[in-house]
Amino acid sequence: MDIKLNPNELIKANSRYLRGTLKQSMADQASGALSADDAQISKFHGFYEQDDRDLRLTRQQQFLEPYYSFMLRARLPGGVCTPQQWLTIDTVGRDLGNGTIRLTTRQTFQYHGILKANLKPLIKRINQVMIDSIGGCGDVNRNVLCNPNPEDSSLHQEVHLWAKRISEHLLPKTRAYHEIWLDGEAVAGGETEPLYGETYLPRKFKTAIAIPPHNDVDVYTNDLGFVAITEADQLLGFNVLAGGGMGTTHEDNTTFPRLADELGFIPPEHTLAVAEAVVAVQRDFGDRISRRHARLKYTIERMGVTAFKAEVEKRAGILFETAKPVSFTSQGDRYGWVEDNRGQWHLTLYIENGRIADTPEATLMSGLREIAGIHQGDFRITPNQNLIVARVPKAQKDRIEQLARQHGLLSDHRSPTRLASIACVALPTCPQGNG
Amino acid sequence: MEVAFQNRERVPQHPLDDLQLTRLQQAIDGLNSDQLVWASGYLAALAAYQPKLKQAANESPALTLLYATQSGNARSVAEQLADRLQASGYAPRLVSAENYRPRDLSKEKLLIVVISTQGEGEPPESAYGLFSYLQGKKTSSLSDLRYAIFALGDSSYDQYCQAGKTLEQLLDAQGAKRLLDRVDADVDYQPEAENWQQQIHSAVKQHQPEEQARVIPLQRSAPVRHDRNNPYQAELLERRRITTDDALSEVHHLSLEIDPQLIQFQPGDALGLYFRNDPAMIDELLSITGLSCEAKVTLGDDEMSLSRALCERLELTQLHPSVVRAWSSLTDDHRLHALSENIEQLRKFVSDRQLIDLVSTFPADVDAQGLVKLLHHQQSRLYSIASSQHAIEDEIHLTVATLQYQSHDRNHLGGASGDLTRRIEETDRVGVYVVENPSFRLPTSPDTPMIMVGAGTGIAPYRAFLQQQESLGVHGRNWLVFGNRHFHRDFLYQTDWLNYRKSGLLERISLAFSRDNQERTYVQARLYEEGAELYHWLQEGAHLYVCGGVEMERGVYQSLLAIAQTHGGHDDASAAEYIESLRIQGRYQRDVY
Repeated sequence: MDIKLNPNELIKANSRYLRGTLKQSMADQASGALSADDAQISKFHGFYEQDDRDLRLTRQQQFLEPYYSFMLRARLPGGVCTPQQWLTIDTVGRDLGNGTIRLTTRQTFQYHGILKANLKPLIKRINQVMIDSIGGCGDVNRNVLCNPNPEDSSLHQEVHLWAKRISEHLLPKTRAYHEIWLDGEAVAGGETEPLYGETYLPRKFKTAIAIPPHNDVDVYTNDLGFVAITEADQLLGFNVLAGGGMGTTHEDNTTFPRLADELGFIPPEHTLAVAEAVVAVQRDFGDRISRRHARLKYTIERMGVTAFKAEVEKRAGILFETAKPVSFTSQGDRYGWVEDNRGQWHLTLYIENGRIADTPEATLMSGLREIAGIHQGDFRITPNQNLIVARVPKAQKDRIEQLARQHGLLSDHRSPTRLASIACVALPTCPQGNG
Repeated sequence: MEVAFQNRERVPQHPLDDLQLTRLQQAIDGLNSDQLVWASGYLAALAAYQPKLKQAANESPALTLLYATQSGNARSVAEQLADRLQASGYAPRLVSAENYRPRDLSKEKLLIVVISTQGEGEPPESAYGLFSYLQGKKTSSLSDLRYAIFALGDSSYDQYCQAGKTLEQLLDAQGAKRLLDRVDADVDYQPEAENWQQQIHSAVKQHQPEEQARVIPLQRSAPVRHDRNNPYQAELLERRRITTDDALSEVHHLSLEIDPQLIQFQPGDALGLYFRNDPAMIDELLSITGLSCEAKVTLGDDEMSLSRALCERLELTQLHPSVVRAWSSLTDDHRLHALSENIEQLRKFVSDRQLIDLVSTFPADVDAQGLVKLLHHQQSRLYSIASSQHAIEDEIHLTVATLQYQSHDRNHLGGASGDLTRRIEETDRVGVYVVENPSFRLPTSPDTPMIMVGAGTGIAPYRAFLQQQESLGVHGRNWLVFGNRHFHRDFLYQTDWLNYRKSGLLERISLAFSRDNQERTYVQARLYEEGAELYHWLQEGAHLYVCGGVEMERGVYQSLLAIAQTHGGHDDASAAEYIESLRIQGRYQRDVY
């Protein structure tokens, strides 16, 4: 039998822990693109190469290469950022992207239309406010979702902390990102990647935390899910889920959507060990031949849930307790103002398609910038591409609402269908978009 | 043929010097085996009739026609004279200045020079060696020499025909005698040239009776020779704009179809071409002057309608000071009279005007023949060829920037570039001829590294260079240095260069896009930044080519001086000598416009 590893596996293996020849690709002035291999490696650093598909043919006729630019996706566990961070996010989008910001269903933001020469300055500037893009894309754990839960801020804070811990625990350990983008010193050698190894995961890996009764994060569709179990506002632990994912390949019926299996309950102190163990099992048992079949859901299908669970328990050195009963009653954002149990207010803004820009119709970007200028709480990007202005003291409520209305961020005239709509960025840049 | 070409380095001992060998190879490149057999027979017969041919190369030729040209005009005048003399049985030696050994001057009896003037009174680059010999200390007496000079120039420059004047002084200083006094000819030089050739012909007859002349019975085998007087009608196969809509300059790629039997060219050559003037502008001219398009006029021996003369034969877009003066004499306008007296102001006046501006601002009564008479004949325009005939036998590619400017309440379009990029359509024909550019040539050895520096459309000949190298299967180390405004908008032929880099033909690409950053970086600055590498390449024998505008070329020269000092340990003087030595070795070649 002639079985060949997926070519991406070789690219990863030869990349010297995600360095590839990115430095050379960046220094090459003759092309706005990266080398083909580096375009794969760049995903681990958080960005995709794209080109303006509407211009391809014209530019080809002009002896010009496609109009390449890059989409960079930040790592922002639970979608939380401070107003200070937002001001930088805004400025960078104006100066070094295409002047817009896109919120994503994975609770983070993306910049589009970044030219190659602007990538390094952009990464440096968001790093100044402690935001990176490591694992924004690529075959590693992606941005960790966490229910934004405006009603119960103390619980959100505690669970959000776990989202951050998981995200950091599952980060690649390579110094490549620091070396290439942040002028960190080159590692002399002997570097290792203890969790991922030199070929990382077979495919992307998504993690989410839900706080019942809200399932905004769609926890059953993630590779790894945590359902917070609480009692009187105290976090008791998590029900652990594994093997979800809704993606299928068109006309390939060996691919299918799948909801995650429940593995059992764990107390909070086992969270990182279990997360690591699930990743490690997927690393060792995942399919590295066919990327279509490489997500954890197919690994579990092949192994069987029982064997998979036993392997996770063995590696984590724990035993799952019986899962606690949970009940989800809502999904989706609750628009407008909500007051939490501590008397703070939260304003959920509907952002159509997650697209934040200044247009002739509405100055969303400038509006958010003005709000960030006076806001004292935080911002939360929701899993529905919307934005919550969170933890607003009562005294500031009117001022913020006024700004939101003034810039078209808040309107009383939107249909329920529109409010529930979601869209991908699609043409002209996204290679997966269908025109 | 390819075999013979590729094996050229292994040719055994032969009596030809490098230059002769190269020229022989160029002459036979492209011949099929039948043609080669015929050519060898022809050469053998020549040898039989010329038993002393071998020695003749070292003997003093009885009559030498020397030309130093930039645009090909001087060459064309010299060729016409050679034809005329040959037809009378003389055997003049026709030679370009760069192939002429200056110390042979002392052996010459009759020397006829056709020379143009560049920039601020400088001779064409091909004559640098000759001039520096005559200005140096090693010259010997030229008292046995009789000479004549035909100097080409442009009277709107201060240093009109200066190169010819300087050469005359230099030759006189060595005791040379005049066969004829120097003749200076302006942009519209053809009538002067015709006259001068007749005078030369009779003067030569006086000094060298025909029976003394060595007569070579060379019959031209080519049935048609296409030159500026007999252009080939090439069909436009394709034209496309290759800068984006938001680019600052509009540049087009043109592909012309030619018959490879009739038109042959080498990488580095230029294409001379004629164009049709803008019909809308002609209509306006006719309407202002009140002349009929059907009015009959004569141009030389030809009779034609006024509109045809204006469209195809006369210069309407490059306004020459002498035309302004002639027009001025038709008017009572004092401003125009005053302007005609002041060459400086006149030059400024014509710099952003065309004939239509003159005629519409200063109306005058003129009849059809009078108008034709005061205008210059259309001068052909030259474009570096952007393709290799070895790679694409029957096409010529050109890279044409549309010259356009707004001035005096009018949009102006360049004559040739307007026609080529805006007016002619596919399947239309353009009158063209090849202008050889022997001082801008690929290295003879395929291993020689090349550094090719170009700005804007100056990149065109390098496309021909690399196409040729690729089709020959040659893999030298090559380095392209290109400058323009915007990376995304006017990186001319970007995908070609990327493909050549992928295939290994281009090792290095350095770029300067002046409007992409605050610093306004130009190629000369990029060269200086990469000076260490550049000097290293030169030390390894690289040939350096520079193609583009005169200012860019000056900037590059300054960078080279600085590089020779910084990285080669030269001082001011020796840096200049170093670059001069590269030039003499043919390793620093320029094509500047």
